[in-house]
Amino acid sequence: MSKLPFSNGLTETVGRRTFLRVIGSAAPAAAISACSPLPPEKIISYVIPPEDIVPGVATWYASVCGECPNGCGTLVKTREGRAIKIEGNPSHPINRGSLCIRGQAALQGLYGPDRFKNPLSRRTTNGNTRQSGFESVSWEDAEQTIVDRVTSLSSSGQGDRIAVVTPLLTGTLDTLVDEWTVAVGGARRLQYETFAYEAMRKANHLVFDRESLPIYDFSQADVIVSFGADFLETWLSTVSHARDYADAKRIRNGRNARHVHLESRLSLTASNADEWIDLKPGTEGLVAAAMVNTIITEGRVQVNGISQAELEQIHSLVAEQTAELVATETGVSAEYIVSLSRAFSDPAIGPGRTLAAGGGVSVNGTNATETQVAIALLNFVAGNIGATIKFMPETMWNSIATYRDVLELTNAMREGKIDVLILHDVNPMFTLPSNAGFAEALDMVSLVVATSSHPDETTARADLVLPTHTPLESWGDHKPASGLHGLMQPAMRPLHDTRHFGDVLLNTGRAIIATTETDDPDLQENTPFHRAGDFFDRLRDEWRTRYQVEISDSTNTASPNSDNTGQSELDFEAFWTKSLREGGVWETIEPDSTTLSETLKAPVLQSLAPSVDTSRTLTLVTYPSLHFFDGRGANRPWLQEIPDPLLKTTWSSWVEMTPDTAANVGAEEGQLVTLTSDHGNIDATVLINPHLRDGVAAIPIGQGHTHFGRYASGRGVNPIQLLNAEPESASGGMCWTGTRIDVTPLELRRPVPRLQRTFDQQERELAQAISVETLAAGDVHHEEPHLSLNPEHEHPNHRWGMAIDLNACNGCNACVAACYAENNIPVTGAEQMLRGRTMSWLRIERFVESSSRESDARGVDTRFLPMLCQHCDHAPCETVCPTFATYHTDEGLNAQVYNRCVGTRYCANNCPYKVRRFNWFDPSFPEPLNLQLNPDVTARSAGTMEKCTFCVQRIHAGKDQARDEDRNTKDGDITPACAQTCPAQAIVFGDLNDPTSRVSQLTDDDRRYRVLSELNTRPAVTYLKKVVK
Amino acid sequence: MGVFDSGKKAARGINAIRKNDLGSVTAYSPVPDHALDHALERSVSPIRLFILIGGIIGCISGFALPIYTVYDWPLITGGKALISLPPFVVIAFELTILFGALSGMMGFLILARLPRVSRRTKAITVDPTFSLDRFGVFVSCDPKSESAVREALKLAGALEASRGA
Amino acid sequence: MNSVGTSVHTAPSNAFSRIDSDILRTMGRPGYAYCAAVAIAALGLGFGAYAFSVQWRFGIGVAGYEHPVLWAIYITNFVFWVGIAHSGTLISAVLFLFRAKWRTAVARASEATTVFAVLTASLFPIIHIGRPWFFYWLFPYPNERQLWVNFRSPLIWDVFALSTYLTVSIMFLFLGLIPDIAAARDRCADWRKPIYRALALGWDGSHRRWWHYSSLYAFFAALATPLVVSVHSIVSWDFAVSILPGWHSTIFAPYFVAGAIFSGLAMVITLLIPLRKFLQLEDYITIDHLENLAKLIIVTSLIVGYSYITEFFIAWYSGNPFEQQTFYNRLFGDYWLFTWSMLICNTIIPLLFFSKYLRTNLVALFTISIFVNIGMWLERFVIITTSLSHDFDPANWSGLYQPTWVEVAITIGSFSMFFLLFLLFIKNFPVVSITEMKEALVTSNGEHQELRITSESLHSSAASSTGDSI
Repeated sequence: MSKLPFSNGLTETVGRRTFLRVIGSAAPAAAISACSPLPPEKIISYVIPPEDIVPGVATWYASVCGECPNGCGTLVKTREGRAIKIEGNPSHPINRGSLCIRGQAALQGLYGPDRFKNPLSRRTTNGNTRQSGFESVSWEDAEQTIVDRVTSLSSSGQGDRIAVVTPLLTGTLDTLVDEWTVAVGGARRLQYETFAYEAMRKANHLVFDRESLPIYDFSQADVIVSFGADFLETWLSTVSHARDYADAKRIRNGRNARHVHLESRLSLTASNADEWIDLKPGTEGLVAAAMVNTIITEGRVQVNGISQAELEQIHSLVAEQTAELVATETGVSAEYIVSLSRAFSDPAIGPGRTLAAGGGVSVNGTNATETQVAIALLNFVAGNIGATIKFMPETMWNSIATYRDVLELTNAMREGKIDVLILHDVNPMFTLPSNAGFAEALDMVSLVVATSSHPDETTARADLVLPTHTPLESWGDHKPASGLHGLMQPAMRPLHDTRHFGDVLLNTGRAIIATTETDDPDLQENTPFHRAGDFFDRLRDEWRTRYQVEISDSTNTASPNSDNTGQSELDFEAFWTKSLREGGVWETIEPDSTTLSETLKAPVLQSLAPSVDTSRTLTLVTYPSLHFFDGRGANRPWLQEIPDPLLKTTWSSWVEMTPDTAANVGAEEGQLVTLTSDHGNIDATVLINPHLRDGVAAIPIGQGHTHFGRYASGRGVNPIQLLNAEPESASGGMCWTGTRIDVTPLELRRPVPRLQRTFDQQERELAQAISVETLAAGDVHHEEPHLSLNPEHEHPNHRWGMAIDLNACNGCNACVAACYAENNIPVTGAEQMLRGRTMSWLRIERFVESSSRESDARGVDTRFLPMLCQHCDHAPCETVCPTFATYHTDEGLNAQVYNRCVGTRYCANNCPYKVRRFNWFDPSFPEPLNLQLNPDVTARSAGTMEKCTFCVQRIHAGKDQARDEDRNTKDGDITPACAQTCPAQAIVFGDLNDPTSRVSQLTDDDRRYRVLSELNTRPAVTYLKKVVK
Repeated sequence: MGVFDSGKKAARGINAIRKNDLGSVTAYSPVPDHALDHALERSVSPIRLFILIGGIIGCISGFALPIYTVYDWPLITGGKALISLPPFVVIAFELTILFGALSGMMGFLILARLPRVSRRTKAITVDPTFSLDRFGVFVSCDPKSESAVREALKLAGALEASRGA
Repeated sequence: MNSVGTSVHTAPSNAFSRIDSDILRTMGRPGYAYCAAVAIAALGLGFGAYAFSVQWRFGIGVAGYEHPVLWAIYITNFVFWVGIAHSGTLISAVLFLFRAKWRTAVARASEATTVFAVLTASLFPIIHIGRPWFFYWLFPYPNERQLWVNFRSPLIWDVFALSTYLTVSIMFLFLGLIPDIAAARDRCADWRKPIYRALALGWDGSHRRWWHYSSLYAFFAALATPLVVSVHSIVSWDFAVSILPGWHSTIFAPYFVAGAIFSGLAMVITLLIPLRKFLQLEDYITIDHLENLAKLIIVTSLIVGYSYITEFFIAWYSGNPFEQQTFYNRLFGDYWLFTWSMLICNTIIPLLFFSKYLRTNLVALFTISIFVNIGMWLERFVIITTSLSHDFDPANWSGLYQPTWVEVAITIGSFSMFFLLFLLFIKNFPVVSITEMKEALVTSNGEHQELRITSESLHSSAASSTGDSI
């Protein structure tokens, strides 16, 4: 009945034999030069040397995640030459073994069914109506087209009529692009990121003379005040933030960090805060300034040896921003601001023990820079600079173009100053406001080349489309921060006839160099275009020349003083091998000492207050989506299917309003409304969200695609179309918030699929909490042990159990995506979602305990409850199954035997946790998505019940390994996918029979409880209560 | 062979025959008739034995089957004991009824010598009117007492007393 | 004619032949209305079969299940049909033991109802499971998977209860039929004669056979009575032994049995009223019989109503938040419309039968019985869906479950199948027990009441008789 989808998939797409031939290390090697196969020792597998690779045994490759600029280290698990799972690299300093939901979903970028299979060229089908379509061309022709056009320009000295736009690049590829632009005669180059943090960079420049972004260390902070910074979602290095934040929130000798979040909408980060202040949008800076003012006036400045002059200098900036004054404009009471300032500069906890994080998209209004300046000052006076906030010698963010730069390029295009435009892996057609005129500008460019692996709105407008490798098929290196050199190696052979962008540059570069004679001496020999070899060789050269000496000092892989080239060559191979194994090399770099800028003058904070605009009814707040970032994730079905962490919506986007706001504009839940701003209008479905400020409408960024493949196109709306194209004056950044909009309800309903309809747990104590004081006082009540008529059954060898810390869990959904990837969980689609038919084995339930608004913080206590099969000792599901399809193993697992299941669904009815999922149809994995399936996990057929197995395949693997090594399994041998990827380390799995295991100890923790324990189901999952202030 | 139009008359006839011991009697009727029962002094049908035995067998097997199977492959479900009698009682009860009824039916067919197969209805039924409204009393006797039998039946009120097959 | 009429008083024999011809006449050449009815029923059955084939091919997802409402209309139909079956056994077996003479007229029809309802019901477990092609895994038999069934599961209890019930009620019906088939055999002249000959098993009305026959019939009645109670108790335990609020209740067994008989009686009335009209059996199935059924309906309706009250009271009195929420939601949640119409149909409307006029008014009888049928179907639907849609974890709560055309079609198909079988039965077998009518006549000889009925019947039927006989 159930034919395993991947078995036929293999033979049809690439051919099993082909895979076996190029299995393991040979596969990625062949990847980088599609023409000539390369010797297999080019890359080294993480676990076992290539020569012992056998079918059926996983091979792991260390690499770098390419889903966002933060450069987390990854380990890619491959089976029979295809990547099937991505996990965090434990030795990587940034993510320390964890990955976010987007990192987990990178596999679906690799196996996306809509990927380009070969180069495409636009051919005009109808001249007078200017209709045109794409036709396949060979790589040679495609590259020749570029060469011809570029040569004609560069030979005539018009190299500046060429422009290259890339996303944030670092390391070898970055250098290569620069070299290429030089080689073609000074082409323009732009690094375009949708979220470029212009305001923060500008502010740091103004305050500290450093136009860069620091590193925020949340783990060291006792008081965290975030001004709209969604540092757990998209703001900078979220995975490392999540880990540090969980550390800060952990109870140490009776206390933990206090987190205050100021934002007009309850974001995921705000949900985790102890206090959420829903102040007026755009007034965050005023609060920060008032806090600085209070701290200085009360003489609580925590900076050692700060000069009176500096103090005066700062005070002069914020003098007029007193708490009382600000209170009226922000809606935050003066008392609260003062008390918060005192807490923030408390001498008791000492200097540098607090942290103010400002920014994110939600604070990027017209006064973004001023806001950031105020926040920077706040950190300065609290002595956090150099403590919780570290400026490193170098940062990758400097090189990013501001939004204004992009606009300038657009204008140049419109004025016909650009003839050849190369867009690599960027999607400005989607991420730029429509009235920025990028579309019209594109028409003025005679040759638009888009190099991307997926079709998107931009490639749809290109003249030439060059399909490139996905990061999982590419060589590369990434330098996310000082001292961190991540090495990206391909985990498998390319699926399609694609090429590495670096190789495209090299090929075209050589051809151009060959045709153009130049008298520039340093162009004669030194460019890579004069040397042989592909991007892989280029990468090795780069590492040999740039890193070997400096790094071999710090990592001692080779003796630094080796002038013998042969010797150094050997050293390099050793160093190279080691770097590949570990996924890069890391040095510990000391942060720079940062001082106040002398040029910091009064006008800086002139326009700190947001410009008051009452032209239209509501204020629009756009926020980046945890799942889709700037929209680049929208074509990953997992990211569409997994419900939004807060509203539990799927496959859509919407406009959020409070009940009152909705009533005022005459709209109700599920109704379609037209949103009109001065710059555009869109139709969106209304979603009632009480956790928002009245008079504000919030829309997530990332949906509303038109040409982004079958999963993303035609879903939700793109709020960027409502935004003002005018950049923010000071920093040249995008104005994400503050746009005023009107709402006109339509007589249409477009329901948004939601997997959780109420966030009120009706005093059922499913997600429990305990106050710090009660916990410190040891005043903990545990449920009585329930009696049973039946004898306890033994667990002779193991008894697997899990502990989930609700205080650590921040609801980021990473575990859910990991579960999808590990367990072959099918995606059912929007229509099924309307009937609640998700297949997810693990869901994050969100419950909100709303109390009356005390002080200024809205009385909102959000609790995230990861709900998976509880593997009950007295499982109600087991008794009622007529065919023994589910029963209890002697290792304490609630086993589900798919082959025995006839699908009566009685077990699911009788499961009080409702964690069992039923296959309503046969699962579908459109090719080549089926290549991602995990061969160790059965694919389920229609009509069978399934559920969490505690990753039983990993349990078996762990036990097998222990047996091979002739020992017992020890704690930490076995980790389920969810626990492995959790950025907050909230999930712990282990053997309850082993009293020393971490899970056993957590099971006796003071915060322990079991969900619905009154039913006496005896779950194997123990939850630890959330700690509230 | 005497044909009557009511059970009472038939019963009278039978009594007469039996009193004078004129031969062995078989009665046919469209309905079960207590008058005939009395006349023929029927005791209680042995069918109840079949039902009793069947029921006992059913009850035993109703317990035996589950108990055998849980030991055949012991699987723990819901933390219950392997032999959880309460549910097994249900099985036993149902099988008691089922086996009782089946063996009862079987007993009926055996005791009543059913089914009798024949191509022709004639060979089966003595007289089709016996399934309509007539009561028949068939006396097998030695020829010399034939006249006496006829007399007795006439006396009892038989519509006709013929020499049947 | 008169002479026949007078002859009744002297001897029952001619009345016997009248009964014979009257009842056997119903098996005569079918009229257009009958053929049309059969055609419609067959059409409906085909529609349902097609819907099931669609579901079989694409997966049960084509039905409207909405997580966590994983049981819905199919299980509702299952319980409904099992319930319908019960009145048959009640009337034919229980009333037999109580020597309730009036049962004679309606017993045969009720027994047939039982058999066909159980047949229909037993299809639904198969239709409802996710992999119907493996339904036989529910039976305990030595198999290549080395795996027996889980006797702790109520679904296995269902398997045993249903198969027992089906077997016994078929045997019960057949046993009662044997002498009548023999009668039909002796009168029949058309192509069905050989069939009757085979089915009659060579019955010749000899006294020895009558003797064992009546003994076994009594025993079957004795066996069927506890069986009928057990079967619906077990069906109710499908719900009662689960831990779901709204299902987990100790009163379910008596509550369901009463409800089953309640609905069954209503269905019998629904069937008998048109039946006696079209087959001209007004003399045999008299208004008094229907009135007695109506009286029984009052009783069972009161029991059901009392169960409702108990349910809600206990939910409130227990102080259990889960229970309270479930029953509050049942009354005022998404399903309020179904709940309230159920309450009205099952507890208010049947009380109209307290009025002698309505009890004896055919139109009223028919309409009210229809209402009761609807109400009892809704009862099962409400119990199943409301309890599932709001259980322990509010994060799972779903809205109003909406069935798709597949479920509707299969439900229509099940009703069509039931009526089709019943229609075929009444044209080919005596729908009133000839033997028992005659027997009643014999045993009630001298009783003025019975005789008057019979003589009236002879006059009226003589007047209305179309005289066609086979």
